[in-house]
Amino acid sequence: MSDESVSPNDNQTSTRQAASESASQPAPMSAQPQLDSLAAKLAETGYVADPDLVASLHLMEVLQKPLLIEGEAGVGKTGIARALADIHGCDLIRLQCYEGLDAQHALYEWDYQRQLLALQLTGSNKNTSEDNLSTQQQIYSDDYLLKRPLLAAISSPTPVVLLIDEVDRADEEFEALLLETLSDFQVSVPELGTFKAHSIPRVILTSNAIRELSDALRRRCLYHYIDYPSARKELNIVRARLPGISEDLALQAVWFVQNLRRETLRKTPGVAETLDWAASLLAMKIHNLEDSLDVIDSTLASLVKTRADLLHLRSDGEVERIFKGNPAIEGGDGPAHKTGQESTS
Amino acid sequence: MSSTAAGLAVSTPQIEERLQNFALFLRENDITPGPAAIIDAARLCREGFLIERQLLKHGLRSCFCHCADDWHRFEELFEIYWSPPDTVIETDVQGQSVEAPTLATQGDSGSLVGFAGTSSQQMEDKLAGAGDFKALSLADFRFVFDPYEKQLIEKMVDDLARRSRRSWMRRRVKSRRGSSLDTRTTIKKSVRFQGQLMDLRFLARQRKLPSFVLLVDVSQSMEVYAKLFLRYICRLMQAFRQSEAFAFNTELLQLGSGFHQMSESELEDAINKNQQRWLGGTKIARSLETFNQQYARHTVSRTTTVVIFSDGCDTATPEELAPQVAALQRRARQLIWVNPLLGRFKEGEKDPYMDPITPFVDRYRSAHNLQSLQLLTHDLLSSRAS
Repeated sequence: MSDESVSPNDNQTSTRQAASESASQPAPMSAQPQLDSLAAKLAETGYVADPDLVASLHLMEVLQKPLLIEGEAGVGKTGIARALADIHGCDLIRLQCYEGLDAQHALYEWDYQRQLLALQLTGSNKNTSEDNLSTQQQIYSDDYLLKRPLLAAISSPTPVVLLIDEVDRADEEFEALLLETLSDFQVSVPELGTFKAHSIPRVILTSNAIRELSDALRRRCLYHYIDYPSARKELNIVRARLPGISEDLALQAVWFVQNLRRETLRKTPGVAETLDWAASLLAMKIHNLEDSLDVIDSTLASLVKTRADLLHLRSDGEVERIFKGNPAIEGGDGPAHKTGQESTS
Repeated sequence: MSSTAAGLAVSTPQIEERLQNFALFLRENDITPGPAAIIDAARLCREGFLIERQLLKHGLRSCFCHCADDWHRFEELFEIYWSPPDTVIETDVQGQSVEAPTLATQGDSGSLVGFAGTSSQQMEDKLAGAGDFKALSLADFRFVFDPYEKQLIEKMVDDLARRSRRSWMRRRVKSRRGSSLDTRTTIKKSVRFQGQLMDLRFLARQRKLPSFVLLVDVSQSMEVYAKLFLRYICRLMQAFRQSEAFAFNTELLQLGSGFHQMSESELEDAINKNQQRWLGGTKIARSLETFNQQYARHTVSRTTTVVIFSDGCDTATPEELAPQVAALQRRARQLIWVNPLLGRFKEGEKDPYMDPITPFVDRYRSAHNLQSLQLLTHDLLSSRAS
């Protein structure tokens, strides 16, 4: 983190003027200690977060707004919600989106079987319109309401983490449903009225950007984009998630995956794939890949997910070329060259 | 950490004005924070984000950005705006190095602080009125040379394709007949029959999203239009995911499943990268033959709309092309041929390339300007084939 203070491109005089004007007002405290604490808590759950992501999560808390996270598959978008639920010791309510998802599956549904039974039990000797009205009020009450994820999150007495996963898979009509929930934290049920949130849930929306989300939805959310991690960060993730892995193996696995991401593949491996692959190497009691390149070939299925990619990598010498290609680990934030026997540890 | 900045009262009008100016600066660079985002930004300054530059950058980025493109450009714009005056910043914004803009003085409250090297006069010149948009929508794409107008047209093409999905509502409507019972309404209706299901209500069948197979000619003669058509196709595929796209000149190229996921910059790169390979003579008949043999079986059904974007200038004779088009038309729900040169022919004038082909296409359209592209979009989404 830079130590540089904010220096808006103002002239010095006006800055001093502003400083003197504000001398009587209490100086604002830096948010940095809170962010450091949040980052440490995330690390305890095994989630290695960049400072900008920690800032977004803190803002989500302060502004009480949903956070929309976009990025390639397997970069840890869903994991954030799990980590948040762990940190706050609260429930994680997950709504997995898909094409055709509607209000009945996302908001609420009436328990039709029970309603029908109740109607037939109570309705046999009631015929007047007043009776019908009271029966209707009875069967459209809380007792007959099945709460789906959004309503469950809103009506929870304690704050929960609500994960709306892969929102881009749902139809545009579903986005409209979300608007009321996300902006006012309330859900309207025509027969009952409006449910206002007892406690504001922490809402995380994830998207793989398969489809363009509407501006209305984006405007209601804070935004964060997660890219593939730098080599150093990915190495830290592997170390955190697989404590038993040897330093050499972790380094080589991350090295290979970072190089693999530079190839033209149909499905670029994410961090999840790196972890799966490293775990399978660990299970096979491999400690060093340099001596056993054929192992890479036999475990590629954990790393690449399409037949075309598998065939491409299994062609002559490809694995060796990628493994011995321009090494990716060294330095800080981006793929760079590694010389000789340097390591990042 | 320096405490100098801590002395700034974050709620002073100066800071709020600077934030507003920064938001305006972003808007001029196509990142569009709304009023709510500016209020959030002012609040985060009060929450201790103004103390450090990095913190402020991260906080403002979360508030002001709405998509990946915004996210990637934000850092550069932040540096330009918030750097000390006279700092020269290497930037890709508008393709040049720029000096950090001098902040408006207190007396200039509300004035813009410079737009990444663009003077306010230049920006005023770029503001277009409704009449200009109308003129632009009628202009043939080949006569649009001004980079700003080109950019505007590209944006309008993007919007046109994206919004097409909105006209295809899939909400299930209630109906008196159908195969799917609307339990909710039926139970409501059964209250007066003491729970006996006497008055059944149904939900109409959900409309299926249309699927398209889009073939675009990227030969030399189509150079002016091909880029825009590819952009249109890319956005259309984002909206209608069941679709497939192909490009052809001397050979057929499947654009692949990742094509529709490309961002604006990636699409631009891909187009520029492939342009050299694609430009050259055209073998439409051979390309369509390849398509019919290798792809048609898997991609085209009686519910598919096939669209061919081509001027019809082929190295083969129209008599060779016609059977391939006829075979494709028999397989598809409808076949639309989009010829951007169509607007150049006078009524009754003969087109030696296309006249033998038109009997085998369901719709023959031009898409040489935005208006005709809009009509094409309407045709694509119309429920009945002509």
